[in-house]
Amino acid sequence: MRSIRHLLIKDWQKLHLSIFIWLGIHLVGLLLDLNCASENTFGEIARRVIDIPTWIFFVILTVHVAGDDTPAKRDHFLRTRAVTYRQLVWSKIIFIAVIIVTPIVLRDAVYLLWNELELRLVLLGAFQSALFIIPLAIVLAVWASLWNGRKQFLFALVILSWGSCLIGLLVFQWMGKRKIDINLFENSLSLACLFALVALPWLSFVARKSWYHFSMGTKLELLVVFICGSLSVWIFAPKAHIDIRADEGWSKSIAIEGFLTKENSIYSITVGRQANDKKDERYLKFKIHPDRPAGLTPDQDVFWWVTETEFGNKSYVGSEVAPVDALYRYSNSSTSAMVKTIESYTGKDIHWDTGYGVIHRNGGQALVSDFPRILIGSGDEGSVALSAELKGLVYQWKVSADLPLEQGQQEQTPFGRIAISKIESKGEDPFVKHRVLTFVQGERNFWLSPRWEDRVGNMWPRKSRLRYVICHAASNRAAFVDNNGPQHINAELSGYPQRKREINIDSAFQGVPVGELRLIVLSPHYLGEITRSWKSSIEIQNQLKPSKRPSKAYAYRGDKMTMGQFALWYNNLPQLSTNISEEDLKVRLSVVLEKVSLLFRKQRDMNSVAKDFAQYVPEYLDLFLAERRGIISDNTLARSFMDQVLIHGLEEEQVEDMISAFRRESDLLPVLERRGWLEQAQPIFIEQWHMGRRSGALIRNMIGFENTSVLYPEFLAELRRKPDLEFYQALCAIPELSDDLDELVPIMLNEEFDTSIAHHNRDALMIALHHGMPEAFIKLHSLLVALPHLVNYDDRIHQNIKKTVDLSLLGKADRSNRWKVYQWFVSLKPEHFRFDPISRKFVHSSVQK
Amino acid sequence: MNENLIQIQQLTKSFHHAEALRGVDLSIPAGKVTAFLGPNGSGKSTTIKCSLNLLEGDSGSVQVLGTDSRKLGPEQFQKIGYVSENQKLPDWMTVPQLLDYCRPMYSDWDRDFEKVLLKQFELPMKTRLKSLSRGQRMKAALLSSLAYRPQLLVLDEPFSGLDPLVRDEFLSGILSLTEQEGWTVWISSHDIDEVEHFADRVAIIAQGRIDLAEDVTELQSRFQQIDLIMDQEMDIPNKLPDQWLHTQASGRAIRLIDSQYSEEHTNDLLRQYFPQARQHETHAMSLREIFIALAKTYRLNSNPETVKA
Repeated sequence: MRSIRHLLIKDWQKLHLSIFIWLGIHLVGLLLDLNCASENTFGEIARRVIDIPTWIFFVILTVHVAGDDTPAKRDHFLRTRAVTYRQLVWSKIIFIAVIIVTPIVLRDAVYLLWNELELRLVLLGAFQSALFIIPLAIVLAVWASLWNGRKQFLFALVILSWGSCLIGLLVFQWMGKRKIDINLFENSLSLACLFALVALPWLSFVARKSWYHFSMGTKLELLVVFICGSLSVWIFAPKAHIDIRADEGWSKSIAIEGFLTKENSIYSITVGRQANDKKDERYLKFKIHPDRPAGLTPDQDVFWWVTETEFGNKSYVGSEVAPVDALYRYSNSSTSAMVKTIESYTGKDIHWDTGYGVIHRNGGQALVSDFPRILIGSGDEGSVALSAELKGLVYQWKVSADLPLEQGQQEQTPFGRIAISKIESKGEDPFVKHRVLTFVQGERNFWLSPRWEDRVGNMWPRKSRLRYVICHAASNRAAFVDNNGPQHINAELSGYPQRKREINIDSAFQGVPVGELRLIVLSPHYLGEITRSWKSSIEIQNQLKPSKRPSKAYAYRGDKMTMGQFALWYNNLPQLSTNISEEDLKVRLSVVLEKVSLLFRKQRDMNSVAKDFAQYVPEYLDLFLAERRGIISDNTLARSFMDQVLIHGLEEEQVEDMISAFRRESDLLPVLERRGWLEQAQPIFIEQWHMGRRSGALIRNMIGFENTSVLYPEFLAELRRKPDLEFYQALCAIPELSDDLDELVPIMLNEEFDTSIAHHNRDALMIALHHGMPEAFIKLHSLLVALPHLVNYDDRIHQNIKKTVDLSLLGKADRSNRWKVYQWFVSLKPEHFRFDPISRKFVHSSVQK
Repeated sequence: MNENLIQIQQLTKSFHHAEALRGVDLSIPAGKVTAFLGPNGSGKSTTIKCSLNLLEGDSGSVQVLGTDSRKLGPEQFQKIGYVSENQKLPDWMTVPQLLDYCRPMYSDWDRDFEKVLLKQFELPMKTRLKSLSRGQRMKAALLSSLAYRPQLLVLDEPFSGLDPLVRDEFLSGILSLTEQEGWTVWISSHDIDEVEHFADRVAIIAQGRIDLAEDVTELQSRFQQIDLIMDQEMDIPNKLPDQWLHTQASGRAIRLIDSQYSEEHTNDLLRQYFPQARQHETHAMSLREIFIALAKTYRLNSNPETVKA
């Protein structure tokens, strides 16, 4: 013990100046935390600035202490001195614990105490803080002690960092292609790396060797340990992951890895499915524990309806969210929240049963990676948005342009009651308006200052990969640019705006006079601010290359999507379409057109431009939204461009898919008609017909065109020449051809049909019947049943027909349809089936035999 | 005092396939000053570091104070003082701080002896080690290694880079203490002049092998330089005894080095091979001269064992 103390004193003597600075930094930081309100600009800046020396000195002190007397240094003074290895290690551990870790934990604890939190919560917060800082210190210390000198240490650190980044990028690239849940993998990988960093050095310490001295065999052993350890972390790490199985009717898995919940209350989540008349709806039901928070009824279940598409996009947009309202702010420079993470999952219930988490300062640096980030946004037009990001899932509450931002206004939100307590405006920078929002939690108010910088720097979720914020001070305009492209401040303030693959500042600042342009670059690789004169955006644009890192959104909204999928996706975005203001839409439209003009500059060929642009699927959304609102109707360039894209940019099948998809949605038909797309597409179809394409899909797309009727004789001639069931089915949808088609039945009957086609159409029969199309059913059925070889040799067809008709008659189909089917069936082919009045089922005549 | 404090047997060590030590056999007897000589890169420091567990040998064994060198711990280091030219000192300390730092590590630390040494070494007390001259830093390191009266003092190239005055001071300090305390000193150097005045025993290493390890007195009595004056000029006979090295003729004078000198036997041989010799003179050789003679011989003769024999 005496030797340990002696070694400690030596370290103290050596580093006393750094230690005093270190402690002073924490003292200043604590004073700032306690005394500077969030609306104090100086306080905000100072708090952020103080974090820089904090982490610098954290690294310096730890590396110095651990690397100073490491056994890895062969000629170090203590190597031949009468000091035991154990004494040396203990002295280092105590030093790090007392001098380095304790101030950080104490600072957090004091802050929590100052906020009058319960002692239990203070201890938990301090514990969380220690959980964060201790592994970090240990890893850094052990890693530093591995090397013979600081140069080697730094070199190894650089190599390791770059290697990790490279491997991480490759892994994420791969995962993006494979659509793997990046968050889960990312966290598991982090844990594995942490394990490796801790385990390997400690093993080397145990062996009392430096890394240099390891034999190849030992290194291989360590590699095996690393792999096993990583796998074990992967496998045994607490899984906050709900895998919704296929028997639940879910094809995709979702990850709900934490949720805001109220202190002392327990919620359960049920994942359910409910079918109603029109569509299946899936919901998450949040059940409130009897020890419910005040203000909620005992048995209140909150259903959160989601659609599969939303799940697929990992974007939960709902009008209601679970009534979680515990939102605390532990630090003036960021938000914190009481969080309970999922630890066990049995059946369909998820129990929230672990402790509380504290979001650490600086927003993005949560104490543990599981904690949510709260986004609070306010626009300069009065819109307010709150959302919480939990492991990459964005839980949005509201994106509203209606919420008044008058002082004194209050609004109940899922995250607590929000009150607009103050609105400030800075004269120097009109853009930075301080709308001080207050979260009312019991008697306590928590300040949240959604200044632009705050929201961007501290509250924006890391996953959104916000990269640039562009503020134009003179014109009071601003835009942020992330991987999804440029957005105005007037646009959505939270959630994920539509994806754009190129960044264009010109359009975002169209009409903005020349002046000072501030680019706040928020990149994982670079954090800084660029201020330059607003002269030409091209120069700046060249600096703003979009990240190539794949995101989840990319996997779902990327250019892999077919036009048909896109059309459906577009149709499933009512929230988005209603929330976008006309102003924003015009801006977006200008972005699209600007992109078009850029493409023109490169290629100068409408056809090529259109083909290129066709890859940018999400851009169509802007065009369609604009089209729907009539904004595009008076824009000649937009109209002509859309025409070109439609005619030249899309593959034939894409055109067909798109028009088919739009046809299915009746409310979109007016858009198509107004745009004249059908008329424009018709020549393509006719040309395809004349070029020899004979398909049912083509015929279906041609139906309804005025000029198509002239081709009816050709259709019939083609059918006579080559009887084809799909072709026949498509023609059945043309009323004018009904009689001709009936006449063609004998021709069809004389031909040999492939059994597989019949099987295929068996399913079509059922679908037709269930969707209330008895005529189609009858026509198809008459074809199948009338074919002797099918009737005689494939009993499965009979069984299926019987089952179909039974279902129809027993009420699965519309009453009138039932009758039609019955009439048809009994009159047409009575010899095959006999109707049993007792069982009310048809019995196949072969059974009677 | 006849026991060996260090016993090295067949020690080998390679660095990235470069053999630094090729089966070193060496013993450091107690109570003597053993000079460990060899040119740069011959393996002196590697041998010493392997002996003190600063490096791990590939094969062979090293016993230090009766303990396997790989198991050396605080108990053994209480009795070992080590000063190296490459040793990293806590440069931010002053000399008193260094002594305060080291003192609690040793149960046998002698404060009075420390004061004596401080006075003898004349070190500045308020200057940090990093601001001291190289000689002063070495003195400080030596001071911190002597004050606990180590049984074994290992000095790895302690004189490199020191000016002659400082070197003499340093040496005188070591010698006087060694005399007084009867310590065992193992000192390595590439310069034989540095150690020939005080070494009791010398070991020469070249290319990772020990070429010679012998007491200095025995060595100097064994090696003698003989000058012959002939009646007339004559050629050197083709065949001469193996123990004669570097036989050279210049006019009527012939000079040779006898590596196995014995007055009676040498005279007999001289009469046999040089009967025309009018007179001959025998001169004692310095350690340096012996070292050079041996080195030349090794260079000419790939088998130095014949010389040793």
